[in-house]
Amino acid sequence: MNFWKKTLPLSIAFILGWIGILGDYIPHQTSEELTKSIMKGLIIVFAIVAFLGLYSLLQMHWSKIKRKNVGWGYSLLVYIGFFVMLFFGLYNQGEFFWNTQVERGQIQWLYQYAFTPCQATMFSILAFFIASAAYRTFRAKSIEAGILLLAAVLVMFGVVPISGMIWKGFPEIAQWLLEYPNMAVKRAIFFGIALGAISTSLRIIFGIERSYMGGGE
Amino acid sequence: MEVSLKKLLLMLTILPILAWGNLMPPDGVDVFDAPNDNGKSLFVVWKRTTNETENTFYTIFVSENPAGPFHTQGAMSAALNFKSDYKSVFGLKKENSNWHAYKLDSFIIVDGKKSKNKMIAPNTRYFIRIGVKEGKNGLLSMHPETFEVIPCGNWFAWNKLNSFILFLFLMIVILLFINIAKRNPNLFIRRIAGLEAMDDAMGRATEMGKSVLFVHGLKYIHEVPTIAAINILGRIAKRVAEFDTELKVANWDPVIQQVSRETVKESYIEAGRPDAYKEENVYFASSEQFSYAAAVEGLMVREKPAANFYFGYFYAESLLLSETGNSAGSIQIAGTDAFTQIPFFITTCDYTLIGEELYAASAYLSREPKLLGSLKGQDIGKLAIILVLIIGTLCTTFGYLGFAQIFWPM
Amino acid sequence: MMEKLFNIDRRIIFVFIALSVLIPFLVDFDLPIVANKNVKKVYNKIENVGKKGGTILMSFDFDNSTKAELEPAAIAILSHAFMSGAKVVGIGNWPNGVALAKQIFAKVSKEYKKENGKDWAYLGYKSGAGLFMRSLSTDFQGTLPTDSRGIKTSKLPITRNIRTIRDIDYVISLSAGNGGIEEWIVFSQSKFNYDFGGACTAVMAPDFFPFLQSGQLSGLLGGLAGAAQYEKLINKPSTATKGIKPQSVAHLVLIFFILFGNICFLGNRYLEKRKRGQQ
Repeated sequence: MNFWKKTLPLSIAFILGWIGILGDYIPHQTSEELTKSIMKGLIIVFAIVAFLGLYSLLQMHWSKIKRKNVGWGYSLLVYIGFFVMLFFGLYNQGEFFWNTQVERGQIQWLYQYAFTPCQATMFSILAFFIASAAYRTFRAKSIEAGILLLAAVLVMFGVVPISGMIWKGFPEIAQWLLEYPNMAVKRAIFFGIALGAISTSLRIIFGIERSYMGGGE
Repeated sequence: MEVSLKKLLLMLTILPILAWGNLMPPDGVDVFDAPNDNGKSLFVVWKRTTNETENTFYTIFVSENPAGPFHTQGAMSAALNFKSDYKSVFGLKKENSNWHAYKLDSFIIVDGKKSKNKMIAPNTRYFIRIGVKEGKNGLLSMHPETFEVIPCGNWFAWNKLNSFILFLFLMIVILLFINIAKRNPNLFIRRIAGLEAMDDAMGRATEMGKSVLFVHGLKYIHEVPTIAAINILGRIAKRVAEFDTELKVANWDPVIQQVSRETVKESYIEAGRPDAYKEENVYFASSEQFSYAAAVEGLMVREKPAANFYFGYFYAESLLLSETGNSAGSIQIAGTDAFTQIPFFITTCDYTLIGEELYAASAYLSREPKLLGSLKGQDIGKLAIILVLIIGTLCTTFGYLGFAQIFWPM
Repeated sequence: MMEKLFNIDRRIIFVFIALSVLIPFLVDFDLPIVANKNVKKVYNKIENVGKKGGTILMSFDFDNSTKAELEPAAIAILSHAFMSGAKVVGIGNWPNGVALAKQIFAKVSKEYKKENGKDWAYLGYKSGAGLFMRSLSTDFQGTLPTDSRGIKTSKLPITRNIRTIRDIDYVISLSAGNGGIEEWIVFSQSKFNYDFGGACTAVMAPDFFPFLQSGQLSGLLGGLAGAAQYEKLINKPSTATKGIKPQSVAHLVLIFFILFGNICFLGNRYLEKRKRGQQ
C-alpha cells in the first residue's frame, strides 16, 4: 500500500522533475524526443480526463435537480444548454458529425448570438466592480496610501485623451509611472515569485513537500 | 558640350551596373555545425563586403552529395542575417555586425512543379556552396569552394551555463537550509497575517454552519502556481475536516479536478474523517474563463460561503469572484503571483498573499522544519540577487558592462 | 451624513458607470487622440513591411469575451497592412477565436478588395499554444499544412514560400491571456529572434513593458486606447475611436468617485477628531 500511495508517486515526481529540468539544458535530439513524448502523453491524459470533467459536471447538476437544491433551475439550464449544443454539433446542419463543421450552421448561430453576448456581459461587469471596489478601498488612510492614490489618479487621468489637452505632461507622467516605478515593483515581485517557484519545485521533486498527496508526512 | 553631357549621363548610369555585375564572390566563408543544438542546424558565415547594398542577395546551396544536385532556401537580402543576431554563438564582439551568419535548418527540394521542405538531419553529411548576386534575378558570383559539414546533437547547452550555475547555486542553498532546519527546527519565519487568519475564517464557517470555498486560479496542473495552490488545498482540507465544515472546490480544468479530489480525500482520511468527504463537492464548473466565473459567482450568491480562498494564478475573473464574495459577506483570503491581479484582490479581500507568499503558504501552514528551511534558502537566494543587482548597477553606471554580461540571457 | 456618503450603496456607483458609458454613445463629441511611441512602432513596422510587399503573421489569441477591446485593434492593423500593400497570414491559439478571426478577415479583405490565398490567408487554430508556436517557427508548412478551407499551404501563393518563421517579415499577436504574447516570446521570438509586436487588453499591458524595454517586443497596442491611437495613425476612425469616448468618461467618473470618497473620508475623520476633542 505504501508503495502505491507514497513510493511510486514520489519516484515519478523525482524522475520526471529531473527530466523536465535537464531537458532544458540538454539540446540533444534524444532529450528532445523524450520531452516531446512526455508532452504528447500529457495531451492524451488531458483528452481522457476531459470526459471525467464532463461526467462530474453533469453528475453534480443532476444531483442538484434530483434533490431540488437551491437554484436547481440553473442546473436544468446547464442540461438544456449542453444538449442543445451537442445536438446541433452532431446534426451539423444535416451534414452530421462525421463531416467537417458547416461554416454558418446553428452551432455558429448559437455561438455568435448566445454564447458571445453572455461572455461579453461577464467581462463588462468588471467595469462596475472596479468602480465600486475602488470607491470603497481607495482611501488616503496614511501617507503611503495617499501617494498610491495620487499615482493611481494620475495614471487613470493620463490615459484619457482629454488629459493631454489640459496639459501635455499628464500622459507623459502616466507613461513614466507605468514604465519605471511600476516596472521596478513588478520586477522585485517577480524575483520573489521565481525563487518561490524554484523552491516549491525542488520541494516536490525531492519529496519534501507532500501536501498535494494529502498533507501527510 | 551637349555630347559630353550625354556621355557623362551614360557613364553615370552604366558604371554602377558594371560594378554590380562584377560582384566579388563571398569572402571568409566558413561552415560549421551549430553549437548547443539538437544537431538539426548548421551555420554558414561570410564577410560583409563593402559594396553590398539592400539589393544584394546571397544564396546558400545545400546537397547531400558533393556532385549535387544542390538545393537552396531562396535568396537572402544582404540587409539581414549577421553574426550579431546570434549572440549565444558569436558573443558580443563589435565586429560581429561586419560578418554575415545564417543558421541553416532546412532547404527546398524542387522536383518539377512540386517542392518539398527538407529539414537538416543530425549525423548526415552536407555539402554547402554560397553565391552572391545583385537583384533577385542577377547573375550569381559563386565562391569556388564546396564546404563539407556533419551536424551533430550536443549533450549540453553551453550557452545556458550561466543559468545552470545559478540553478545549481539556488538548489544547493535551498537543500542546505532544509538540512540545517532538520537539526535546528526553531527557524524564525516572519508572520504572514493572511495565513494566520485562515484558521479564524474556517472557525467562523464552522460557527455559522456554512461552507468554505476554494478556487485555484486558471493555470494548468503542470504550472507551479497551481501546484502551490493544491499544496495549500491539502492543508486547508485537513483543517476543514478537523473542524467538521463543508469544503467546496470549484475547478476549471478536469485534470486539476481529479488531482484536487485525491488531495482532499487523502486529507480527510489523514484527519480521521473519511466519512465527511463528499466527492461531489470537488466539482468541475467550466473550462471557459467567464462561464467558470459565472458558475462560481452563482454559488457565492446562492450559498453564501463563510470563507472564500483564492490561491493560484488569476486573470480578469479575479475581481469578478472576489467582489461578489465581498458583497456576499464572506471572509476572503487570496494569494496570487499574477502581478496585474494583486491590486484587485487587495481591494476586495480581507487578506492577500503577494507573489512568493503563495509559494511559502504550504510550508508556513505545516510548520514542518524541513519546509520552513526551504524558505530560508529562498531568502539567501534573494540576498544573492540583491547583491548582484547592486554590483551590476554600479558597474554599468561606471561604464563596465562585463559584470552584467555574465547574467545576460544567451 | 458623511457616514452615509462614505458607505454609499454600490448600486448607485453602478448607475453612474452605466450612464457614463451610455451617454457618450448618444452625444457626439471629439477627443484629441495622440498615438504613443509603442503604437507608433507597430505602425512603422507594418508600413515598412507593406512598402516591400512583405508578409505579416497575425495571431488571433483572443475570443469573444475580449472582442470589444481587441477586435478594433485587429481591424485597424489588418486594414493598415492591406492599405500599405503587405500580405497577411492569420492563425489562432484560442479555439473560440476562430469564428471571430474569420469574420474580421472577410470584412476587411472585402473592403480592400484583397484575394484569399494571394493577399491573405487564414490557417485556423491549433492546440498546444507554446508548442504550436515553436513548431511553426521551424516548420511552417508542416505545422500548418492547410488553410481553414482545406487548401494546402504549399500551394497557396501567399504561403508557398514560407518555410520557417524567418520567412515572415513581422509577427503580431493579439492577446487576451494565456497562449498569447508571453508564450510567443518565450517559445518562439527569444529562440528565433525576429520582429514581434503585440496588441493586448488594457489590464495586461503593464505585464509586457519589460519585453518592450528589452526589445523582444517591438511595439504594443494596449487596450481600446491603443486601438484608437492606431485608427488615428491610419486616419480611419472606427469602433475604437467611438469606444474610447465612453471609456474616457467612465475613467473620469471613477476618478471623481475616488476623490469624492476621499473627501468624505477625510471629512469624517476631521469630524470624529473634533468630536473627540470636545469630549
